[in-house]
Amino acid sequence: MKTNKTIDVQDRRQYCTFWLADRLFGVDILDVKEINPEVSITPIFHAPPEVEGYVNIRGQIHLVLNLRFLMGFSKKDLDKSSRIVLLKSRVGESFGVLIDRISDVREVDESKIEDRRNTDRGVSATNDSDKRKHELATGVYQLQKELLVVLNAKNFLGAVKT
Amino acid sequence: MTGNEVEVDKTILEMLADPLIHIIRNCCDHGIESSETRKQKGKASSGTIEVYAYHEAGHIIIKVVDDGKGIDTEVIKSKALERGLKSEAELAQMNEKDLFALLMLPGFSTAQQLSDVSGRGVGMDVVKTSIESFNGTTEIDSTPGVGTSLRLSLPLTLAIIPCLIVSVGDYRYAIPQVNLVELVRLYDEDVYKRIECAANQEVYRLRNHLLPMVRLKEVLSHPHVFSEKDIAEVTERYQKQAKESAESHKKQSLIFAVLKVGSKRFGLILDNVIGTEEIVVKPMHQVVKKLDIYSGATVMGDGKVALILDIDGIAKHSQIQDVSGLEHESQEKEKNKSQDETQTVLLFKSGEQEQFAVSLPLIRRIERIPVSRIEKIGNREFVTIDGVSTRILRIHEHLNVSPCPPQDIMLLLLPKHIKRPVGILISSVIDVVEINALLNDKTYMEDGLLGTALVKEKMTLFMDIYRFIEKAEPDWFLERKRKTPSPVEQKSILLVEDTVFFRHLVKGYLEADGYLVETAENGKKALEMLQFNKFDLIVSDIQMPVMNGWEFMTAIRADEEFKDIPALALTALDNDSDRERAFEVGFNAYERKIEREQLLASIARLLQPKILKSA
Repeated sequence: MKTNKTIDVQDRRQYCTFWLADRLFGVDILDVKEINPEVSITPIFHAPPEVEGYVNIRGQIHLVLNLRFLMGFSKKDLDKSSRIVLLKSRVGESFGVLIDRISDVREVDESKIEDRRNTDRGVSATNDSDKRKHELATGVYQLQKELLVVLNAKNFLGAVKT
Repeated sequence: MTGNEVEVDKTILEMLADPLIHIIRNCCDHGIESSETRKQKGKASSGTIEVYAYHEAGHIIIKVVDDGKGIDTEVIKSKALERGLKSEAELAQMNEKDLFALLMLPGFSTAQQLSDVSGRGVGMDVVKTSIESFNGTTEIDSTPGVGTSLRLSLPLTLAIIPCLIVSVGDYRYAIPQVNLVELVRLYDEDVYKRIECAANQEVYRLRNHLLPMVRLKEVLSHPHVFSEKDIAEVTERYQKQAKESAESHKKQSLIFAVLKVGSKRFGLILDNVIGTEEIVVKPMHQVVKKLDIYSGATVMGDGKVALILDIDGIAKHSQIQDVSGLEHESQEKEKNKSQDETQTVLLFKSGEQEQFAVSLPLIRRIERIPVSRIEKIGNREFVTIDGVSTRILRIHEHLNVSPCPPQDIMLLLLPKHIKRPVGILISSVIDVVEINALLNDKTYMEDGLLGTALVKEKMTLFMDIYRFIEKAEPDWFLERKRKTPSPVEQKSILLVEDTVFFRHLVKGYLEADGYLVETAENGKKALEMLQFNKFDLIVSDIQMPVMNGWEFMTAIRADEEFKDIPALALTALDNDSDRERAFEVGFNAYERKIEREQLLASIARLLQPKILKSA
């Protein structure tokens, strides 16, 4: 529990947070290019289930991944609150992830993120993409009201089974 | 740096990243001198690298200029010699620009020390190849002591291909036009009767060719390559559906596209065909590149993304069975039939009463024209197709037939081999049929027709498209006509041709041009006729039974009396080996049966009085 609200400058990080299956997740805001309400996605048959499809945003074709599926939740129909979080090109070429509902940008104290990577409740990774899925959640952070699961956007594309 | 705002396609941008890094590192490593050297030379102690990007004449230009030590052509020459890339003689011939270009040959580095900054193995040759893979150019220029500049030029236009847009379910797909042969639509019982089953594979008999049928819906719902079991299951399911629908007499329609890729041909069953479009091809994303059924994606007019199908991928995925074994049988049947001269004709109607036919290979395309788009200038009608004003000819205005009933949408037949844009207006297409009818020119004949025949139990008028157009617009052919000798010295031609259809067709052309024509169906008959009649010119087919064109010509030229008679070889095809052989055996010219204008011009030329050479 944080008692002191001021965070050291070098530890200050901003996270773009969003809801997936009623849990709060976040990615480093510096990895995010934009958040788009466009939901007209063309499915790509034969692609792995993590791939939701293609979407056109201002003339550019972007690949959309279903983040719910990537995180192990079941897929859900799109609704008014669905958004596509587009990632910057240094995170991956022309792609974004589909999320349930966008939330606020939260400031986080880097030093207080609990590293979860090695304390995975004993779930053994049986194949490469499962391993990669585990690497998506790099830690948890206690916000005032809820728990934020910190994700590493750079690992999203790698987690797709090819 | 200038040109931050210059836009370029993402794929090009991504390709440029590494080359640009390499180029700039090169400037740092090989170009810019150390600050001591620079001070000695009177330059500023730190070097400058300028990067410019701008649009110019449909290209994007990127220039990287440094004020370093420049490139010494002597060093290039010696390195080139050292590595055996060029000889002394070659180097002597090269100008400055050519020498600089040598830098981009593989394995050419002139730095004494390759730092790990630029020596990653990405050499200038890789830069050149990357740029050239996008149809761009690279140019190096330099002044020793002053600096070096590198200019990259990339074309802005991307891959744009014409496609057929189709749909299955809620989504659209693009089929590249290059793979498309034709579209077929089946109605009601045909949907079930005509899709047959051969060795567990659905097939369709399209004019004596057996086509394996693939359902796009099934391809999309089977992520793994079709196994024998899968194919059998799909076939069974649809055959069952077919049986049920046939029994309940359901009204239905089914549309499929006949596709070709390499030597494979198959039919792809679709839900709907939307139209043709020129689309911009965007490559597939890295993550889905492996999917063999897609070759790219595109953004449609309404902003939605559509996937471009890779026809080869679909063929491989559906494991198209080679039905050529079964095909062989029907091909044999076809060979036997060819003696009876079958022709593929398009049956159509203009007015209510008559049924017309025209040889299908002579038609380039059929366009749908809304009557509202027809423009009248004087008493001529035009319509714009693909940006070209096309003259419209109505059949009843030049032939004694019933007029077209008023309709909102008409069809326009666009013929091949005519230089001027012209189309023949018709009201509807009935069918495409293979007929082996002999044309009758006694019962009913008119200038512009080849004759009549009974097709589908109806008297059908066979149009001579070219004669018809000439009748409507005689001026168009005036030039060639002038070359033809005047009727005063009417020339007689012996036409040797076994196929009835072509015999009629070519005889028609020749008589319309004022020649007297006698015909023979093979070389032997022709030789007999030559004994009893005098001819000014021989026009002969090559492939004929009993005695073919080669044998015929050889026999003619061996005979003293006929060794000088002008002779023209006619063929349905056109290949070089035949052409050479034709001249070897003694023909004076070689033309294609369908190229009317060429044929007549050639004949006119051959019949011109020869300039007698003084002995």
